[in-house]
Amino acid sequence: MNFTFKGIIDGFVKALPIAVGVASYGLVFGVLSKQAGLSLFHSILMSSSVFAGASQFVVLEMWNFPLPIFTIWIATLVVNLRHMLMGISLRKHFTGLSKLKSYLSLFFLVDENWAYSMTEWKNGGTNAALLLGSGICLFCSWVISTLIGFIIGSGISNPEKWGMDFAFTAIFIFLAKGMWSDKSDLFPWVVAAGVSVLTSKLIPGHWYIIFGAIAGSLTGGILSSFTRSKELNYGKN
Amino acid sequence: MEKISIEWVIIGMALITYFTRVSGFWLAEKTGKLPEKVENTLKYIPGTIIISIIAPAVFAQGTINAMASFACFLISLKSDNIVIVMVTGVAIVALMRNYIPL
Repeated sequence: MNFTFKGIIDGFVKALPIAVGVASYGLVFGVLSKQAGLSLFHSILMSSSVFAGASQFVVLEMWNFPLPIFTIWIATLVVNLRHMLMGISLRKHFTGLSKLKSYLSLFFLVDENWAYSMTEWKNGGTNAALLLGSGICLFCSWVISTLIGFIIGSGISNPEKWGMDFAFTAIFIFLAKGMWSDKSDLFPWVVAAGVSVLTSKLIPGHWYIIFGAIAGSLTGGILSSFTRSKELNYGKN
Repeated sequence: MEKISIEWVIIGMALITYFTRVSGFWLAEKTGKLPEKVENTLKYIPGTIIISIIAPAVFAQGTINAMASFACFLISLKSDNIVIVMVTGVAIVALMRNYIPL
């Protein structure tokens, strides 16, 4: 892996379509944060320092004075726990990178640019700076659209009517194709889908991503150890 | 609640979020290469995270989402253009939500 300025620019440009989807949600966050009683400064501060949409929306629901500080912090932790799993998967792509480059890139880690970068790397991409470049692009989109949403204030609080919530589903369906290796992925993916759907029905919050991913990965791990031991036995015979 | 401490609530959120972003990577880097069985499990994380993110939206949020998802899946097989997939998906959902009472 290398880490070049060209990789940053490349990531930035490639993430522009995704930034459109992000912006539609940033607008809504701006609107809702104003309605929840945040000042413009606090709204921008949150979008630019937290930069994690799902947790920011969850916190808005709790934004009543006196602020339930610990509930807010725990909710932030729970909703964002999935980043830990994503971080684990970045190790082999960030090997040899300086601490500054790694930990700066990690600030810009969100679902969309992580999934995009992983797909690119899986399919031959060798520039570790893709995550940073695409992250900066989505960051700009998120912060600017928060600002615009806050200023406009209303009238755009219903992106579902225009199908904008589906933009992310479409993006991830596309990226899932790039993640597919071979038929050994099938069963882990089916288990992940089943567990995540079930969890989303049974447990409130955002546990479904973590539960689905852990169940699916364990399935994959167990299955691959079976196929491997089968191969070994075959070799002996 | 004094107004001055709102910044700290938000900065606390930011630190917690950054912690979730760096801790998995930090841990993985510190432990280095793990036993093969564990590595074989970790290898499935990226794909299964992506599937887990979309599965409820695809399978558990009504017929419109399911049909649009299937359309996106088919287009993804044919096209390497993320914009086409995204625009088509959003357009299908928008049209169906506004004009087809499902």
